[in-house]
Amino acid sequence: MRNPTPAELRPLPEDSEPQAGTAPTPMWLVGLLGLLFYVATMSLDKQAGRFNPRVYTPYASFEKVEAANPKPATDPLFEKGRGVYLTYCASCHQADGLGSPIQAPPLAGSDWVLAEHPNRIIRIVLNGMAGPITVSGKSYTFNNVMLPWKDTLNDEQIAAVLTYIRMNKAWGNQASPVRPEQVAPIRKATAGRDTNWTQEELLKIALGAE
Amino acid sequence: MNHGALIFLSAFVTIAFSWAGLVMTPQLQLGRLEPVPQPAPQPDYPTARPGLAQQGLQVYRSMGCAECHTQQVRPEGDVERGWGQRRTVAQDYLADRPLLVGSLRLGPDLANFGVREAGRFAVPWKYATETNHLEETEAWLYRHLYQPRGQAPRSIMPSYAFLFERRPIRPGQSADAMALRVEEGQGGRWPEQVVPGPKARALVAYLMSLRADAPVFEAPLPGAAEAAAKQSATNAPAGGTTNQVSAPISTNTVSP
Repeated sequence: MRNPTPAELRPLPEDSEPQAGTAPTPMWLVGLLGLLFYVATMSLDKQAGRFNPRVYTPYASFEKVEAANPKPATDPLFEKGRGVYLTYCASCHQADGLGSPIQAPPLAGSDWVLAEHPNRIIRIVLNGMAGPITVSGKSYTFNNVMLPWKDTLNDEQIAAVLTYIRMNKAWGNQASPVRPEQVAPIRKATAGRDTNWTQEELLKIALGAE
Repeated sequence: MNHGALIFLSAFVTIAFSWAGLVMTPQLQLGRLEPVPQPAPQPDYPTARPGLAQQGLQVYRSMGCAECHTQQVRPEGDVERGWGQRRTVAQDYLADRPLLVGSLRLGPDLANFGVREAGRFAVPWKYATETNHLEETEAWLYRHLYQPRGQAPRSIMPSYAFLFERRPIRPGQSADAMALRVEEGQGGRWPEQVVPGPKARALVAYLMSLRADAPVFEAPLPGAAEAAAKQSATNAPAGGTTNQVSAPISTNTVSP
């Protein structure tokens, strides 16, 4: 290896200071980065489960986790309704739903309870009931009235207790569940009413009408 | 050029941002996990470990087992390997303090080591026993800790023979049920036996308590939803959605 010559060791001339020029950002780069950002966001939105702490791979969303889990054997509303029933209703209608000959008609097998549409029994729970009533062909006349529960129970509790009554297989009942959305319009429609329902009034209301 | 404040601020923002994302948000999301309720006769999951197993966790920690063994079933591959029925989630580690998940797999995963159903083991090699009684599995584990190559010829696990004790068998005594070796006494001395020491017993109790197979919402057991749907279709619980009306309301008549 040879030694450098003096000419090579001489420093470079100092007047040629390097300068940084300016150049506009190319638009295609901006577009590409925007596209990348869009794809990344879409991917995150699709696969990150919205950062829900209960979502783990391989599930991409909470709904998929829920679908992979076994469904509860009974409607949660039904279980809730059991508690409401035993608290408020069972003292007159009894825990077995057979009613009491001096206080309340039976709910088990009752044609009122098992009607296709629950709009009449929602009214009964909201405003109570008075006067004679025919249940499954048998006439009942009680001295007491059924209390209105509209100030005590909210829509969900009324829906729950009616679901419990209508779907209680132990009583032989097997009708459709009642949803809170079915209770709300009836509560609104009967908001001004402050007297108990009677059988005549209820039978004028068509089944399925609100 | 004095940009000290700017540099400090950008470093602070960077660290604060990652701290918020990696520490604070997970803490807010998972910091208050409770044990998952299980169907009636089973305790909620996960339960606290029994006393000896809790001591064994400290042995596991002090022996550095977590350097080579993980306790984490990953969603891909590990279930096929037979290392667990489902992946592990944050819920599975509620009873562990400190958390000994491990990060490197020189040995097999131990998340389901205590699952003893025949033919389904959490280790890649199979135990020699058919029935997998607790005592048999424990005896296997003691031998494995004492002399790993004796049980699994290609194991690279170090021997933990120092967790075992040599004790004389006095006249009238029989050898311990868990004795690994009994040596005849030479020159009129009592025979000696090699038995697991307290640390080995605690460690084995801990290993036998490892199982992550309870169903949790985040990681349902495969096929659980289908099985439940099939069962509810045949068994018909009280919550069906059938709309059967036994008597039409129009038969109601106004009583005179």
